[in-house]
Amino acid sequence: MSEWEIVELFFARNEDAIKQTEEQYGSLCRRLAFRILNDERDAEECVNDAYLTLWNTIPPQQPSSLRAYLLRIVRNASVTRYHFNTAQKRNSLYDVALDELAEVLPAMPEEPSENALAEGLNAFLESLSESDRVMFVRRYWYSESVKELSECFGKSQHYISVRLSRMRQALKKTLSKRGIHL
Amino acid sequence: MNKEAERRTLSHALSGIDLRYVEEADRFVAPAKQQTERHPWAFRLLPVACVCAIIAVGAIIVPILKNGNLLTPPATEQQTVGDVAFSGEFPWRNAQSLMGFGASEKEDAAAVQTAIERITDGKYASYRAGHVIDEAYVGEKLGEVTVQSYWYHVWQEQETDTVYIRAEVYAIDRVSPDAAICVRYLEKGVANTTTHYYIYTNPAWEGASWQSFCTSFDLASHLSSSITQASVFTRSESGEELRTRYSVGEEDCAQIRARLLSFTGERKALNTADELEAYIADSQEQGQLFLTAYTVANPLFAVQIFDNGYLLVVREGEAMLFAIGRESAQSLLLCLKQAPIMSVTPSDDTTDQTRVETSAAFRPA
Repeated sequence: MSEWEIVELFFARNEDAIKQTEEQYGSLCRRLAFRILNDERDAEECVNDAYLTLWNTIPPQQPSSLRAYLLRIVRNASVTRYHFNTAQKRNSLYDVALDELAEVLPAMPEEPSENALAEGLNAFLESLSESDRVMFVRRYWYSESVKELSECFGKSQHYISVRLSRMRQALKKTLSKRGIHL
Repeated sequence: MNKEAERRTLSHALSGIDLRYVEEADRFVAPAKQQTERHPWAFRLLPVACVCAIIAVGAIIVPILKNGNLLTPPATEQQTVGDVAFSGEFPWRNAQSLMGFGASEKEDAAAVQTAIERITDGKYASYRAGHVIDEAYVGEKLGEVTVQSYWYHVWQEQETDTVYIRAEVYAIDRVSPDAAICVRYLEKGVANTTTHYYIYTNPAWEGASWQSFCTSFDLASHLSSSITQASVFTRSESGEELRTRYSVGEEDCAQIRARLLSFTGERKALNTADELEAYIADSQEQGQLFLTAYTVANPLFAVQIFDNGYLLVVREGEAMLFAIGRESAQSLLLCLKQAPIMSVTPSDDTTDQTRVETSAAFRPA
């Protein structure tokens, strides 16, 4: 069933929409949630939350890509849960990815606005080549491990680590230029 | 900035990445997958690997040729969901969050931005926009209203693209307009259609009894036959709280639904969390059900049954308490406990962070 057909099921308030979404994207969503939460039950609940959000928001919303729209909802739900229940324990792939990225934001006296940071990230991503951009998003948005990226790009893990490190340095410069003081 | 704040800021900023980059990364296939670097020892092992491969292929091919048929791959297990379970914790001590007094929109939000429609004039201005309803349920036309339509960016707490559009208001068949109405937009807003009928429910419905609740919202027609999630929280003498989740089958659902619709009981005034605590203080067991009825909420609402005779409905961040009687409450809990047990876990400590699982969580107050 195509994405558009599933969206049509949501518009028709047909509960098969959820079933079809689960069949097509369920395992992908659970993988994403698990990378962030490192807990199968939490991941499962976040994915179910995401289905509820889909049901709640379509209609009226008509996402141009159901898959990307769903993944973003899953990620947001997982991140919310992550901050909700793992304030002390740090053991997911997401922790590692966040800590890496935090290197470019050392010793900030004040919290920069999330909006400004998001705009800075988008501008930075725009400036990258497609493969670098994909590598960055897969590492820090999807929380994929260096090993997974190495398999995806057909490069050594060392190459991926170096590439990501250079991108983080470039991000640091981009953010500085945009007045996000480091 | 401390480490925790830093993580939170980064998390939220990453969530604001343009969706097209997320999509691009998802669909990306490396142009020409290169082999990872080979180490010299790999070449030395190549002949051994070739011999092993020949033996392995032979071991598979020979039996196939002998038997004259091809191996059929084993069927992969297909995971499907019938009822989708949604999470949510409502232990006794969380009455405050439960009633929406303590819940933070921003923390609860699962969506980065959401389309909001709000009636700006007339008696329906406080109603909350919800789902599309089947045209078969649409009743007589009640009038026209102006609707404000805009995008709400949850984390930035900003409204953008605001437009004002006209809409027709209709009654819903057998549903009191004091409880819910539906609307057909005459113009396009930020994300609505002009062909569907959208429900608007009244979060401040003022009925006096459980029966009038059932009648006003026509639960007999609109309450879904499936129960999304069912749990019982038990408080032991030592003060430990356990949560038992049940797998409620079709037959159990039908029984629970019939019982719910048969209850009677007056509504108790509920203005503060302390009042709720006082009513349920001596209860030892609490059942929790997530139900679907588009006329009531948007769409999921929680019903909680306390073994000391109270039924609490949580919808759109509002709570309503009904005194259904000890016998009715216990009979429903008993019915619930006859379903197969899925899991028994300690009730989570969610004192300050209970999430209210209603769509209100995705909309600004």
